Amino acid sequence: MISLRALLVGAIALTGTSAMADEIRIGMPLALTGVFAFAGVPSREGLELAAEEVNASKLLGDRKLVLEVEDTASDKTQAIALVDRFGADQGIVAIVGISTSGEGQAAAPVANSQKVPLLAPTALSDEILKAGQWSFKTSSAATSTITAVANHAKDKLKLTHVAIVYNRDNEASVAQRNVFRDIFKVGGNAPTEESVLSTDVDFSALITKLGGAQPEAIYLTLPAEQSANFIIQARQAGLSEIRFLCAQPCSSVQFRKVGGDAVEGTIFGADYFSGLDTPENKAFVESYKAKYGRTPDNFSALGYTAMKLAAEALKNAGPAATREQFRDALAKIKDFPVVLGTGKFSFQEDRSSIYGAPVLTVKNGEVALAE
Amino acid sequence: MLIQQLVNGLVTGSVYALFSLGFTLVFGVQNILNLAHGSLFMLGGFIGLICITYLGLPFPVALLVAAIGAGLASIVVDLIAFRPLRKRGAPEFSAIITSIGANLIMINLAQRFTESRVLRYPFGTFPIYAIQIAGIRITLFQIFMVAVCLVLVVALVFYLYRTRFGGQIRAVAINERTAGLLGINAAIVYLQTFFISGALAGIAGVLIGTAFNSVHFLMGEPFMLKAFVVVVLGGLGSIPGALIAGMALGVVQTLTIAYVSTGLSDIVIFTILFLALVVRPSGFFGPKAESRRVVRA
Repeated sequence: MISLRALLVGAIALTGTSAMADEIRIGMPLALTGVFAFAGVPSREGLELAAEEVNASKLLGDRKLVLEVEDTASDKTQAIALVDRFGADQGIVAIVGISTSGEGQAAAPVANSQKVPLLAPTALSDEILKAGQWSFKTSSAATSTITAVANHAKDKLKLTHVAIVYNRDNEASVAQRNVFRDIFKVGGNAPTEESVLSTDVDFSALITKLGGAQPEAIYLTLPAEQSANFIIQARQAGLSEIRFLCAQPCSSVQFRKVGGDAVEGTIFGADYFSGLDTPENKAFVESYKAKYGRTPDNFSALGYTAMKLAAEALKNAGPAATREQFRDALAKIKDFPVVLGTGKFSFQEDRSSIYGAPVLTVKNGEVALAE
Repeated sequence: MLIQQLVNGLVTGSVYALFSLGFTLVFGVQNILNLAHGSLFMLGGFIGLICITYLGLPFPVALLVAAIGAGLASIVVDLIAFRPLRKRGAPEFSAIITSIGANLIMINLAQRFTESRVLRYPFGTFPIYAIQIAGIRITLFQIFMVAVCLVLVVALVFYLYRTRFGGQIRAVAINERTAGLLGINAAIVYLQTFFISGALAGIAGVLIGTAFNSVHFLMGEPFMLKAFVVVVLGGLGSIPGALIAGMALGVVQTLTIAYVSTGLSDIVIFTILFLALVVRPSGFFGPKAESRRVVRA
């Protein structure tokens, strides 16, 4: 007869917070609400779709990915708290999350001190890599999409007179301004610079001022809704000839939804083009449409790729992978087929990622390659 | 371009004036700095949005519903936040604190309901039509905003100075106890004041939400800061003062952005506020120096 005490001890042992042997727990703090939800929400869809595919295809044998999704609300403090919590929970193998550069800059040092691998799907800032060996990001250097757009503007469109509008209260926006300006002025034409606050909604004075200066194009490093709002007001003020070049946020579905007809013809750099002609991408677009009812956007693709990278690392690290083994396996990924850019993903020595950057435009309400 | 920027400034200024009217009214009558005014403005914007997107009401009706809704919400704020303090004869400062509390509650509720998203009025809410006169471009909606602002100011002044209700409001503003002795029911007066203030804020919310393609839970906060400047410059409690100061502020802000720098516009505005407080704290339309004592019944 088993003693009551033995039963109790056994019951308590079974109710620990550590994962079951065939479960791999992944922490997923994302910006599901707030200013950056335009990135967080689609990335979640991509992440979950990828995890489903991995589980269904038994890529990891009998082990299943279990995602623990939490909302950072686009807030740095919340991001830090969630990364800290996931890091302290030894049952979590890795964190695939953190949507924005602001959150990333704040949370990456925490991940490093907790020694938990962090793979940020959509955050752009290189500070995430500089925080230490444990933090990675899927998207390539912020500079690569901006470089692609700046070169397209200079070389293909032959623009000489450009104005930049950036958020002076957001350091990522300021950094993007610097990158664009430095590349563009190589031809000898320094762009004019104007700033707005991320809370501004009334751009009438600035638009009139820019209208007077008559640039050929305006480069916006603002979030999706604000960019769309600016363009709408500019068109309403009669600036129908000016072209708009945008940063990566404008590759989101939200930008086209808020902007409507006004944003037709906007050119932006992106990490992903849904028309990429590879078998992986075709399959991805189909399954995404079947599950969510629309074409995946830039951020869905980044989320999808992040989870696929994580799964590949888990596969290579072997069963019962520790956090170190996962991290090392992740860093070694080279020429891995992905849906981003031109189709192949590699982490370089400094953990930065490359995959090619298409320049896209809004054509008839959909995304197309820019000419 | 200068004329165009002046036009932009007047439009922006009329928006600031409209927002500040309700704010200055409550202060003038009740000596309460109602920091929840921004939330009533935001609430108006959302009510208008719901009317147009979900109920399919036409724009003028939505404007009216938003005004009434925000007015009623304002009364609720008065009943819950301010009236208990008045009954207890609490110092004015506590009214400011409760208004901050009411503001936070409304902002948080709005944040929850909208999941912090930035919403917009549907395209075609108001016909987009621009007029070109003598090299200046102005849209129908901008004219509409300025017109609404002027009409409301005139209506408010008429109400306050030419009707019996307005007389009662002014009497209570001067001295509540004496007004009570003359048979005026201060409670009704306060309800009216708050309703009007809320309704004005609600109308401003719909207009600004439509004009700038943006309705979200924090939309009132930047306007509150500007409203402070407007009511101090114009004189706390002065309706014409709010209009003139609002217009002036709009023009100064626009010209600073246009001719100096976008980053300096806030610095210029708040420097003007600072100077006004130092040189003439009661504003341009108030007496030279003023100290108020609030006498409650």
